[in-house]
Amino acid sequence: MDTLALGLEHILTLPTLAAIVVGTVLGVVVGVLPGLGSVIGITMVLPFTFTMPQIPALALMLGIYCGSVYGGSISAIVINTPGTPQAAATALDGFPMAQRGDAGLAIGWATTASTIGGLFSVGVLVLAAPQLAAFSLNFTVIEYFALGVFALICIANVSRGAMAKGLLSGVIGLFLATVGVDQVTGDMRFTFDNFEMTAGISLIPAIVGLFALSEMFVRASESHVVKESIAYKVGIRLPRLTDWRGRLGILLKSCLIGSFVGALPGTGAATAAFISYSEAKRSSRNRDKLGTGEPDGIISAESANNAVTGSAMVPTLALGIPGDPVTAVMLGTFIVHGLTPGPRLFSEHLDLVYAIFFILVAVNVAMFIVGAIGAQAFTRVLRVPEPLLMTTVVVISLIGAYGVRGNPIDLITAFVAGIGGFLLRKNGFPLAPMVIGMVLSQMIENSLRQGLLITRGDFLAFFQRPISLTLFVLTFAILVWPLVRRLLGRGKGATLDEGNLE
Amino acid sequence: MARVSWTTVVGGVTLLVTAFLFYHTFDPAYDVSILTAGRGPVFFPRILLGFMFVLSAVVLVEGRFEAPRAITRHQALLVGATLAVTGLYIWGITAAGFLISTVAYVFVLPWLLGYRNAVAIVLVTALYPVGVWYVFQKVFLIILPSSPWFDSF
Repeated sequence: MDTLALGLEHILTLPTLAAIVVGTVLGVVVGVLPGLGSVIGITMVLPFTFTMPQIPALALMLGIYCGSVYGGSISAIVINTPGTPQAAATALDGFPMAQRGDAGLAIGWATTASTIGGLFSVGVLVLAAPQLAAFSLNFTVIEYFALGVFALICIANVSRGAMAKGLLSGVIGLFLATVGVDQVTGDMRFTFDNFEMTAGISLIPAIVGLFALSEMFVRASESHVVKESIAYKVGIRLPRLTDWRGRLGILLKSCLIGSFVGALPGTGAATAAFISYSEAKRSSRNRDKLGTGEPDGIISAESANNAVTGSAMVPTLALGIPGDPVTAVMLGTFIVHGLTPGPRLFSEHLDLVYAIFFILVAVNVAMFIVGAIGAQAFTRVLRVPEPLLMTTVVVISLIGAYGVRGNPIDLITAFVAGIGGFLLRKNGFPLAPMVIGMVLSQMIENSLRQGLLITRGDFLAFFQRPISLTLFVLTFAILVWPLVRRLLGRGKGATLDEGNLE
Repeated sequence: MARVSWTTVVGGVTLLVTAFLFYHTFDPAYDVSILTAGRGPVFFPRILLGFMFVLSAVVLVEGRFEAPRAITRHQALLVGATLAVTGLYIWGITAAGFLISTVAYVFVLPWLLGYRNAVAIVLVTALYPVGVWYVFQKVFLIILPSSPWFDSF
């Protein structure tokens, strides 16, 4: 109880409350603008957090995370262009509603459903994360090795139709993180006698390059410029309580789908939104109207994608294993701020864990208020000319890349990663596995080497422990399932997932 | 000669780089410790490079079945110019300081990306770099690279 009160005390300070509001507003802005999204948003604010205390810094980043998932729905509704891939399903019914003059009501449905979905997922996080952390105390290095491989394969495998590319991207990420000092022997690896390289390839500059710089290069290659002259004037109209009658089932089902999908590695909010939308199309009372401007479509997509935010933090906080690039960046920024997620976080810093829970609740409440008050202002953000916007984003992101260590090599890393990210994206290589690979590399390598020491070099002994065996079997099943589907002739159906949407 | 897809090119380059790095792992510099029982500094990277080699080969072969992506001369020039300007900017941050290079970058890049509102570009160029520099350097106390010609920035 004391730690609970301490957790609450952590967030009831002016800097933290201000960070929650500012983070949520910035998150919504980043979400509204097509192409930016959660990862770029978090890397953009990272330099601002370097000198901030730990809790306000976390509050700012969690605000960006949740706000950006919601913000994508506004542009999806108003201009039929989802601000983030997570909001793609929202456009299916949101834009038709806007076309018939109900844009304000559509934003109202999206705001309410997003808030409920977000709060639901915080509940899941509160219930599941401590249990998972407690369970993971049974894990040895062998289980952690199996878990790391499982998470990476899941993420690489999400890129259906490009499985080899996804796997290659993941393995490249694993390899990049081995550059620099070997943690076990202290020897230099792949530095080619370059002193700057001894510090290794840092995660944040790589992410800045892979996401922010490559986004600019991709836009340059597509000559994609948003027109300035379009006038967007949209308010918000919240649905009445009676309007919810008959829709609560869809809401609950979507929250459950989002929470479940979010906790799985390699899936993400876009996948959750589309699964939930498909379920609404199957089971909604108004299924015949879906796609023509039916609120059930908005409810299913928005509650599901926001329900991912809390549950995606379950493996991240409890095991230190991120499920997608957003939580990978969050993990990296947590570490920058001296917070190492994993079971020990729950045993040694429970007050911080509670503080994160409270922050997420506050962020979701702030999201509702911010959405209700500022919807009209957010649509005006869409008027910012894209070339100016991208320039300012790149400058701030590069400060984030440089500021982590103050090492100029990080700027070069970001630039090289930007070129690499551009080439990979243009050729259908997903970037998510590479980021997750970089995050998991050290854990996978250390647990493999320590495991082999424990088993005296017998790798087959890794398969003799029930938890690791289960994880290896699941990994194998995930790897071969697409091949089996293809052999059975069912693998050619269109798939829509976050990997493709990236 | 048949045109190859970019995927084939990426697969081929990755294959060559992987082969070189794998060869590099046999450098005598890595024969550092007998105590590691064969699991020295390049034990794990060698496994990864093995996987990378196989996967690069698969991607290379897959790329043979992809149609080559057409890219216009204008697009290629635009991407090349954006890459060059950004590369120069990153070089300039350490060579000429953050503020000076950012002023130049913020002025050039929007124009390069097709934005022609001169007033807006000049305003943003005048305000944004100075604002960002001031906030980080003076408020957040993050030391940004300074110019070799001026004391204060």
